[in-house]
Amino acid sequence: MTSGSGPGVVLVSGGSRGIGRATVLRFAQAGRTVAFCYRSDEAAARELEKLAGDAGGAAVATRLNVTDEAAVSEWVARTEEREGPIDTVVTVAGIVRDGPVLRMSPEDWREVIDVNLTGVFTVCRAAVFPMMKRRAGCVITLSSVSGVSGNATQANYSASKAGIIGFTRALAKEVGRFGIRANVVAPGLIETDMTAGLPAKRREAALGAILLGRFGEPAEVAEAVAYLAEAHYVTGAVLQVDGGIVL
Amino acid sequence: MTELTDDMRAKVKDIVCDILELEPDAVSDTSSFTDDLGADSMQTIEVLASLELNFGVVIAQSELDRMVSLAGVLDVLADRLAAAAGGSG
Repeated sequence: MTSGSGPGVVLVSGGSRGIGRATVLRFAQAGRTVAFCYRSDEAAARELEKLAGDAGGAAVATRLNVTDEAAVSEWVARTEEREGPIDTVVTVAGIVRDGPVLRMSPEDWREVIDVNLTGVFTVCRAAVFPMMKRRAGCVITLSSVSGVSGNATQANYSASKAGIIGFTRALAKEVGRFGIRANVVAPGLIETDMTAGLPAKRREAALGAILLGRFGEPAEVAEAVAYLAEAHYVTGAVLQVDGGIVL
Repeated sequence: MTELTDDMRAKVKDIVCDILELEPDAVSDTSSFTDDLGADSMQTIEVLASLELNFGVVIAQSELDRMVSLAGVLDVLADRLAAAAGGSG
């Protein structure tokens, strides 16, 4: 399958579940070809490939770890060779290893920083260079309100997501002269696997802090991603999609 | 390595001078883009992109390490043209 002429390929890291899955489907519904990677859930990835085809686009899944530089470079090169030029990069892949700072193991700190932040660097480093040469494209990174305000028991996650904002704004300054935009989407509490495990009391407290009084849906975040992909005079922005949460 | 014609060398110098916003007289073969000519690393990437566009070659990211002067850029271009022609490049 190939994207042929017209819009380029969308590259999504961490596409098989939650916000990544909704993003893949959103672009597929617009008729786009999406190459996404996933870490472990093979069945979900294959199902998503089928759903994307049914939605009018196409999706190609690749299993890899976003911290593996060689695997990411090969993924990007193979995608460009088989599907066509990438013009949209969306980084979603992320994990949580929550705990208070005093009880957080160095391993849990490092793993979250590696996947959530270094993974963004690794994907962008591989995918942005070809776009710079073509002088076209955009990058959309997924941060979090935790990265904007900080969240107790999520120092590693908050630091990684704050780092994504700094990284993306720096990238925007580097690649603007090549006609490439880089923006951030910072979701609040979204109905995903990550929030499904919240204890009832914490969920209730969280709902009380959200002006719109509900958790968001992955598709609502994907809509913001799709907007930034087409917002041709927007770069270096952080778009919070959080229902007006007050942390 | 492919021998570049005078026209090709002149074209490369035009590209470099245009991107670095310098007069041709200010750019020698060996003057360092960053140390002598005040270029930043992003401008080197612009040179690379422009070479690809103008000469129909593909230049790897790793070649940026060699593209530190006009002579380095000419060497990289000659290698890439040789590779495209089926040489060892």
